[in-house]
Amino acid sequence: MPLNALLNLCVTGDVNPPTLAQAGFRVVGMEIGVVCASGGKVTIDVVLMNEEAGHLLLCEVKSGNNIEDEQALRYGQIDARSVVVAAAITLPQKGNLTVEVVYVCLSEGEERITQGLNAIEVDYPLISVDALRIKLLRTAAASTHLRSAFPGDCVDLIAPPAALIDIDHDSSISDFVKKTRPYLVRAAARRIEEVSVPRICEDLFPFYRRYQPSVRNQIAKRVQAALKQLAQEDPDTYRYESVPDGGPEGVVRLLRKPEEFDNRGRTAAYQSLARVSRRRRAKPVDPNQLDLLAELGEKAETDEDPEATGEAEPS
Amino acid sequence: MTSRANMIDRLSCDASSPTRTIVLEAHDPSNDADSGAVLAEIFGSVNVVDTDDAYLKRAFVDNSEVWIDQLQGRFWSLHTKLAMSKIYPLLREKVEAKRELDWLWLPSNHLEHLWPKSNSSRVRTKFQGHDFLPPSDPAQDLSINLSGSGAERLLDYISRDERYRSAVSFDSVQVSLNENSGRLVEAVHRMGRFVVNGDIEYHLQFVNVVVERYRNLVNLCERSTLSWDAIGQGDFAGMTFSGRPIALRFSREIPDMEQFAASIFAARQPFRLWAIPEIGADGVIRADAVDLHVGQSVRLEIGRQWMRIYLEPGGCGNAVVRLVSNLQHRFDGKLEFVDPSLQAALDLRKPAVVAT
Repeated sequence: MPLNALLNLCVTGDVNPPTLAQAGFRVVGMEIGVVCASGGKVTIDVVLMNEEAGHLLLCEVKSGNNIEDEQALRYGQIDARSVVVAAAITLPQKGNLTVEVVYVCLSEGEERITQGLNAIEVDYPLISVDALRIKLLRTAAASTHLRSAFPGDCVDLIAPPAALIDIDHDSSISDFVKKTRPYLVRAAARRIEEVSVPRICEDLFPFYRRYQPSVRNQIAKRVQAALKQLAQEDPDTYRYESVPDGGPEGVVRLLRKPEEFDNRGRTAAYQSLARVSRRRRAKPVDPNQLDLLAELGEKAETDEDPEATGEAEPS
Repeated sequence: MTSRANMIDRLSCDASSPTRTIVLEAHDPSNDADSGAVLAEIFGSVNVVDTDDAYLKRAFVDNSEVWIDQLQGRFWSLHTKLAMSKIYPLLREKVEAKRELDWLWLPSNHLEHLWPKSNSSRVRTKFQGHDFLPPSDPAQDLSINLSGSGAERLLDYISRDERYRSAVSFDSVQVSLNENSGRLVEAVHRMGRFVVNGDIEYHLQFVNVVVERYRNLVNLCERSTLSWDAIGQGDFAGMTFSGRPIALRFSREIPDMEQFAASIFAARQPFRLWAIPEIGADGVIRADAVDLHVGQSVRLEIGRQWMRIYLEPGGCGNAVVRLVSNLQHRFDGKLEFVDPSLQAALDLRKPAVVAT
């Protein structure tokens, strides 16, 4: 959630206020590896830039409650020009570049993170996120550019942060099941008969082929586990076929194809794939089933009526 | 030799019989669909012939003909003298079965502001909220069929009443135009069906203007597609991010989240969205849905008074407009996009003017 909350403040047109975008910041890079002058490397989670001010905001996003001391110290040594090069940022005008490090965390971790930053004597500001509010803490250390995005040091959210990123390689198997099931329904809608694990990985993770082998393997294993679970739950619809060496590069076959039915059967087949019991409101009369006015002689037209012509002849 | 002029002659020849136009959206994210093959599947390969105009084809149906004009790219206009009761069922069967084709889903606002300075002589509104609203709602279903010069004023009056304003949603409109450009009586249905008496050249431009306004909305939706682009070549060296969720704001609260989710993700008409929605502890519905019209993924988050639509790369903006248009007729006729440019393209307070 902290990463999505940060990104959410940078996108306009959402229900939540885009306060970072309004303060002039936009996302110019994510997961940017930068070499430090003292040696070692830092992978910056998100780089924001205020173009007009030439100000870079290097964001380290923490899902947990702890910081890595070495990493935090290295952040303080990053040169702005190295970030420009690493993230391939286009600078439209010359001028002084400034850089600021900010940590982003969940509200339940803000105390521990603050303690951690104090312990190593770095004065980075902290953005703390919960479902309804995003706060700027340690404001004395924040630039005016950053503070201008948090009037009153806090942004109230109308909705939970937008789920711009909804899965990553560390997500749980159940999260992978939730992504894989609709993927297979989409394949069925396109009349595809089988899909391989690598294909699913590439479609769910656009940079799958460019990740390190260990990350690729982790993703593939989770997709494989998800497919096995789906095949086990619904053997009439899905069959998972492993490769001979037991590796994660198997294939799932779609045995039941709703597209082969007529309109009514197709709808029922898709609904059965959802496997949820939909609660029906008790209705004395369903207007779709019995239109008393239509019975009097008027022809009722609905969008669901295949016989409907919808013609409105000009008089 | 068959030309565009021949089409106009043929469509103009019998003034006593109206001309019908149906506009289809032919979206193919992979760009490999052969439009000839799609048309052959609809009309039969022996019934479709090329003309001397590269954008114009002709199909023979029931001793009559259908002119397929592809000048507007992904929006195909099919013009014919065939009665709508003959041509529409034929197309309906094919469009519903094919992933490459969809209808035009004109939002209520596009019909309400159909033509600058024109008065609608007939208006039909249709709201069917029984799947989304409780029977106690003041206007669970609301259909109005009005004729006469005061039609819009009555609808304005009804729309000012908080109890009914969300249930006034334009389904079809008939306008009479008598300008220097020509004379027309034009009836338009929200699913891209037109029936016209009058000057055919003017009608063709009329359709173009309606389609262009619609295309603008579709294109703006597609510009919001979430996109992740790698920095540099070779090993992963970071990425950039663009796009945003498309956010809607409802003018009324969803009375029953569970019922709303069950209705919208029932895999049936008109939404045709498949999903296993989850309602979180925060009361928000989250769904990785499949749009069965086009076989594409679309993620949705729904709160009591808002909705976010996440369009994946290659996603179709027409699917977003379809969802919006159908929500206007099922849940909230006064919904709005949060983004001002999208809302302007939906609302059409400044309607476009036809080129003369």
